[in-house]
Amino acid sequence: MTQVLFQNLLPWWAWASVLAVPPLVLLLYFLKLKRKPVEVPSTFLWRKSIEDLHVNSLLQRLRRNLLLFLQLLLLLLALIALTGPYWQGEQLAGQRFAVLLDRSASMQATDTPDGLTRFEIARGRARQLIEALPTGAEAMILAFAEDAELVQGWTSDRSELLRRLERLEPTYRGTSLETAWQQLAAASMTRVGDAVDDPEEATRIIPVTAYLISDGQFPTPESALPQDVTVRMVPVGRPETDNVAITALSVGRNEQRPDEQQVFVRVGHFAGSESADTDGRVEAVLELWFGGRRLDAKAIAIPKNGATAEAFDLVGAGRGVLEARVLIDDALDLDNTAYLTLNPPRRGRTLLVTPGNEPLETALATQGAQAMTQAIIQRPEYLETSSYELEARGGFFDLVIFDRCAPEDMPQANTLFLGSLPPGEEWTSEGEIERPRIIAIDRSDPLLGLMQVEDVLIVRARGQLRGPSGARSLMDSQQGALMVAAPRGSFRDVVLGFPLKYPDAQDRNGTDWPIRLSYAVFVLNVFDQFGRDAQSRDEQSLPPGQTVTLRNPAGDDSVVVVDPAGAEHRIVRRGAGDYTFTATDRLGIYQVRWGSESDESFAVNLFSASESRIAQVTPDFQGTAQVESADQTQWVRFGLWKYLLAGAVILLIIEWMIYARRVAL
Amino acid sequence: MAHTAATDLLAPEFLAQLERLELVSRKVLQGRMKGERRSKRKGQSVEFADYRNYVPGDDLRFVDWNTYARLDRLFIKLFQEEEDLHLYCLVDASGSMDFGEPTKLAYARQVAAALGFVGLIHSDRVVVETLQQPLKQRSPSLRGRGSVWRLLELAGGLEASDSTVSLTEGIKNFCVRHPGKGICVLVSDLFEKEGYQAGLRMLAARGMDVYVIHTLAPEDLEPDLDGDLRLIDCEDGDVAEITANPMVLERYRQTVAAFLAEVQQFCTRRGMAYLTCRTDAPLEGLLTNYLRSRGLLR
Repeated sequence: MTQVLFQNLLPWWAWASVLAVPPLVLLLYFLKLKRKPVEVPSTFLWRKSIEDLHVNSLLQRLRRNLLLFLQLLLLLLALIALTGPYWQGEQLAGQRFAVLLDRSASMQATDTPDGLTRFEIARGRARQLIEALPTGAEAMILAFAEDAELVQGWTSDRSELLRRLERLEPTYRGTSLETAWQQLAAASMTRVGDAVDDPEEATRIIPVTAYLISDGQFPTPESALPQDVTVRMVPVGRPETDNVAITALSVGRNEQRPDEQQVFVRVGHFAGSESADTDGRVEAVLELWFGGRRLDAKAIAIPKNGATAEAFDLVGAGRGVLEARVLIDDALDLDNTAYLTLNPPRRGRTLLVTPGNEPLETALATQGAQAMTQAIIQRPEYLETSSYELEARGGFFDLVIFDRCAPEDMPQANTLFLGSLPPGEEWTSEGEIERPRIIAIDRSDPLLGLMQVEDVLIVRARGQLRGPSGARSLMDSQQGALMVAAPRGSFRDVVLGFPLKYPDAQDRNGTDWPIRLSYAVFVLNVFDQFGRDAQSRDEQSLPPGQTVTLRNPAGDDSVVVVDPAGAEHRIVRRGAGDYTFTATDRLGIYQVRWGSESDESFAVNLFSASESRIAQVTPDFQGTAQVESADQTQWVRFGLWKYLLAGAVILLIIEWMIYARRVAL
Repeated sequence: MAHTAATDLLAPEFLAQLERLELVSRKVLQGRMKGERRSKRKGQSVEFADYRNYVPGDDLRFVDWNTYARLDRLFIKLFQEEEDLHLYCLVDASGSMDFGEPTKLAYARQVAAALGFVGLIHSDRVVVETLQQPLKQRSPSLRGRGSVWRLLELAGGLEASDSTVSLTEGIKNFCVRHPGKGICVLVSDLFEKEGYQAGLRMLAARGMDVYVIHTLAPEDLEPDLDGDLRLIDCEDGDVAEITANPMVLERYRQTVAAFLAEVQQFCTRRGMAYLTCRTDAPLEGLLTNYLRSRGLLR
């Protein structure tokens, strides 16, 4: 807060002399010597005129005498100037300033005196900083959540900085300073192109003061800032703020009644860092809504700084939106509600290209597999047909199994290669492994979970099986990988280094896996993971900001996604059948419309303990930056005496003009 | 002030205009010589006027024997006698009349000269005096066209006087010097601290045909003053300190207007003709228009 202060510039006797001047000026104006004598024919009528007016009164004389007033005003200004008034305000010292504004989900908490969100408070502080920029200084604005955005590069144009600042909106995303740190470090270099033929000059660091406006809830960045960058922390929010949040929502099978479903909700309490009482429980009400109707509600007690899990029975619920709400008055509302969509499971499409594989074909024909996927079996010659090419490129299938064969180009689908390699140079193998023994599998992978395969016998397998960048081994033998999986865009390719068939008279190669119990589990896992409609995101929750890939087998050129605010986003098909949607910033349910119908939906929830823990903290940068508190304000004096004396000079000029007019007349 | 030359007082063209004018009295007055005027004095002429009772010593030729035959009482007949008209031009030559551009006194000289000229060419008797002249100083009574030059000399020689004779005293002295009747034209600014009322009442009481020509300079009506001033009265040295500002000047103008209205009302009530004239107004307009319309000239 700025205020006008005064300082004494004169000793007492000088003040006494100065203060005596105005009365002297007044006295001079009332001396009779000032009256001009004028002879008139008669004072007869003049006396009659003035006898009621009392024109000799002090007020009349003062009213007439403009020059007197001007001189008194001039004296007053000079007196005030002598008292040395000055503004005591905060001014930024330096040449370059960076404003780092936290716009993560936790910045939407309302634990502020005015009831505004932390983001609004932070924006206000940023505004103050920009307005206090010294003349000629440059500033930039970086807004960060999970990523960082350079809102405005170096500029001394305050109005442009303020304009860009006002357009910023908070997000529902988590917090990471990493990208912001990197951008700040890069921006602290001298701008390339500023007469910098000299490479050394191009990398010279101009000292930068960065104001980090945040609640401090972010992990320590790993990269370090240059030494010439000083960070000043501007904390927003309160350390003692508690919060309650839904941290998980899912639907699963009721173990007691397998034909029914249950909804599981986890609610956590995040205590403030200075919360004195960490014992006890926080009481709230948890409601379950489905299709816009409240199904159930229960009172819950959450351990302080802990969590509680609650279950609701879901009977007879078909397709619809599931919503869990925690009724509690806390500072952050957006994590008090969680969403989930329930859609009836849809069958995917699986193409099996095989010269003949009875166990596999039988597995595809089982009720369990049929429930998950619609299987089409073709012989390898089918791969040469235009029909296959169209379907493969159009993403008609969710899973293509190449049994001892391979296409010329990879299809737009997940793939499983049994004993063969995908086309191209990224997948390689060398030689063969005789009678490999499975020594390890990655049970964390959904394909191989809950399986025992160490007893599987394999006649022969490809040696040194390797995949492209990002590939990882799911099954190993002593001589190398037997099963490797690798991502390919939105798909996944799995290569089994040996044919998944029982040896026969024509082909002695093979394995006895088909007669093992784990074979059925593996096949069902494959169909479950790859064979279902990939867009069946039932009971899945996406974090805000995650890119979603949509696929329409019908091959429409565009699809419409309606976000929770009702805004429609038209997505044009990117490749063969893929639609990429990135605007998942809002929390809630997104409807996907193929054509004129809303065929499906998916949910975006916060579910972030780091964002739900909203108590303001002082982060520990662990040496990655020089950090100072912004409470070390720099008081600067803005002397006002110059303006007062300028005003006095102007008055003097006006007085002279008036006096000159009177003399001329 | 130097004597104004007779030719400077009235232009020859103006004199030619004045020859066509004639003084008119609203009242029938007593003159000294047989002029062309009706007089209330009853004398020996052919026109019967009135009766009175016979007293021993009256001329028996004027006894009305017809009335005696009827009433058996003696009455003497009275007849109207034709007389001269007297014009008295009474000029205020006080110090206050010496202000203005032209001065009010200069204007008054012209008025006296013009009216006197009209009277002389019609064989009226003309007397030009100032209020400030001593009681025993009598101005000559001029008559006939031959006295025109003398008139112009007298009028042109009127100068501002340092005398402290007030308006009232001056009129009183005039009345003592001239007990007769006639037309009296008073030319003054009436700036009299003792008041103008007593003097004008005296004139009214004389039964004369009185014309008050209230002469004021533009400076008297709209003074151009500004600032802190010490006003000094030129006649008695009285001092009034004022701070001249628009409000005060407006107040003064209102006072002047009220004064003029008051004087007019006073004169009208007493059968005196009154008119205000500014010294910057042409004299010709005053004489040929206004005084003709008021009945002094024809």
